[in-house]
Amino acid sequence: MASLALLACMATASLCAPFYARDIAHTDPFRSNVAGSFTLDGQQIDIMQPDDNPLHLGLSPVGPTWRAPFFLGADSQGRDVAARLLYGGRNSLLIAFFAAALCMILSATVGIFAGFFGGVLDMVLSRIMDIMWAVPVYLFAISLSIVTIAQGLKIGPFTIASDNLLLPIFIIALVYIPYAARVVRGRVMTLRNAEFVLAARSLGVPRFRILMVDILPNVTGSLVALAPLLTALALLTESALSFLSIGVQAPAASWGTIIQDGEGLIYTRPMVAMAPGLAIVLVVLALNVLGDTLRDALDVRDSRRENG
Amino acid sequence: MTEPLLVARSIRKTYRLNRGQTLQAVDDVSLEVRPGEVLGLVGESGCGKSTLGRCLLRLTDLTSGELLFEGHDISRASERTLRPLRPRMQMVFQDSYASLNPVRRIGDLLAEPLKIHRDVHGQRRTRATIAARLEELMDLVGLPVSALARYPHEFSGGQRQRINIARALALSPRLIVADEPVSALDVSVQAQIVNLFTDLKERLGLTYVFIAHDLAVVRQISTRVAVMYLGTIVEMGETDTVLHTPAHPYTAALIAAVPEPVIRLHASRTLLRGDVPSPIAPPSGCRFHTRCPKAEARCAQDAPTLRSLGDERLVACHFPIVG
Repeated sequence: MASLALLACMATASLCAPFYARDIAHTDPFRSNVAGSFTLDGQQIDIMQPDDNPLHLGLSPVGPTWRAPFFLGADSQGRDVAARLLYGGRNSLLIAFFAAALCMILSATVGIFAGFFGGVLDMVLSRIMDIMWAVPVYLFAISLSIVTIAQGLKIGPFTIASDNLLLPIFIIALVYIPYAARVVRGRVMTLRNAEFVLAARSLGVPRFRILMVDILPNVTGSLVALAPLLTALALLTESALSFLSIGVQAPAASWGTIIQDGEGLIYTRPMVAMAPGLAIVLVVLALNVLGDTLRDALDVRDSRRENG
Repeated sequence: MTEPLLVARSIRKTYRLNRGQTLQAVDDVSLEVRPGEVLGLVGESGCGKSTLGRCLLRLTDLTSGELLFEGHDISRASERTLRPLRPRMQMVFQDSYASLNPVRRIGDLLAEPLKIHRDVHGQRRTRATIAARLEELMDLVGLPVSALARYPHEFSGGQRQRINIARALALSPRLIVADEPVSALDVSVQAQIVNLFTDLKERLGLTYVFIAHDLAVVRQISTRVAVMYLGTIVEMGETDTVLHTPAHPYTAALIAAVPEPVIRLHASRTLLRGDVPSPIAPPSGCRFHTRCPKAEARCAQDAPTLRSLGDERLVACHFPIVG
């Protein structure tokens, strides 16, 4: 339950990003602002300040003020890190959630058809899954991202621009299909030979109805337990792609792009990279705990059924 | 004599295994099921009783042979052409829990056949008729109507078997194949369920193929018995004749193996040695010769066929026990 609460907090905070930026911090988190300054306790402070080193060469962005504007300091382009963190959370969570949802739908379809109909269909689908699974997930995702981000994606009359969030959603959903589809396929294969399926056949229930009424409801348990874990994986993958500049495109933010922004400031202003990193860790941890909780909850029901 | 309800002629079921091996689960079985009778199918575990039961209802494809249900040849029928016949032939399974979908309520499970099949006038059944039929079914199998709103795991084994029976009865079948319906139950509950089967047969004019390995259960319910060994029928006839004066040495050994509460000092017991041979590589000739107390040289070469010993009894043995 704590994990659910944490996830809800993160999502709500991210949804409130525009309020924070406009009404509290009064900044535009997407425009470079290296020449600007702000007032704190009646003092005028430059966003870019001379370095601390004795020669005073170069400039560093202002550090965390722990107050409304620049709560977590500024990044190398003078943008409010706190505001960007909230906007980044929107993108990261949105992509992770929809990629996981899309992946679940696709892999459930693939897994159910392969598991239930078996034979040639299963062989073809399973071999395709094997080939996809043989390529390391990140390598696969990176290759797809580089191609689609360079050119955008044209499917018939539809064109998806390279800065569209649909691209990372599609790519992440695609690369994790084998991961989830295998679980579903295995479950369906055991269910297909279950006695209640034979009983349904002896009643003359058509195959498609058996699939929808007898098999699908028994698979949903596994899918529900899988969903949080898949979301966590999708979040990690999105952050990795964005960190490599092939996920969410600048000037839009995601937790991955903010870590990349903070990479060059890691010795002087570590908070820029640490804040989104911490956010990712917390969300992934919460999702894993949630996944375990769901799995245990479903297990309990299973064992009770067997004993009963 | 009335026309048989179900006729099987030389049916075979072969499973292909890895490395080119085959398993003859059912080998050249011929039998008839007459309306109103209870045909008991007996044999040790793994002798092909359950496979034969599934073959008889065409829940699995036959490798060869002919199968007639009410005169229709169903040995090669597709699932679609079988569908209109399904309401008249039903099955009750051994595992009362595994044969009920755990995520559906009893009411939904029992309504399923009524929703799929149209009634005698070719009309879809209305909600009201289905609801009325469900109450009727609950009453038939002796469960409260409140059970309809509950899930399978909330019931005991005996109650779940009642639910399975109710589901099989939903479409008013003529033939029910019961695959070891009581062997997973406690002895006290077994008697209740066997009585329920007998009672329902009287009230609804049903015909059963009753598969069991417990001779006491078979003796109680069946009018005729077929004894199976390694995929073939070795003896078939009236229950009293077969179980009191067995003609096949295997039947005799099965009967002798039933533990008796009173130990008879001078009873000669022919207990079997060893295990059932593997059906992947069955023995030559008579399949029982490796364990038969009366086997002679001929038994290892010629496979005996089912022949009549008079009194409507068939036996597959070169040297039947007579008298």
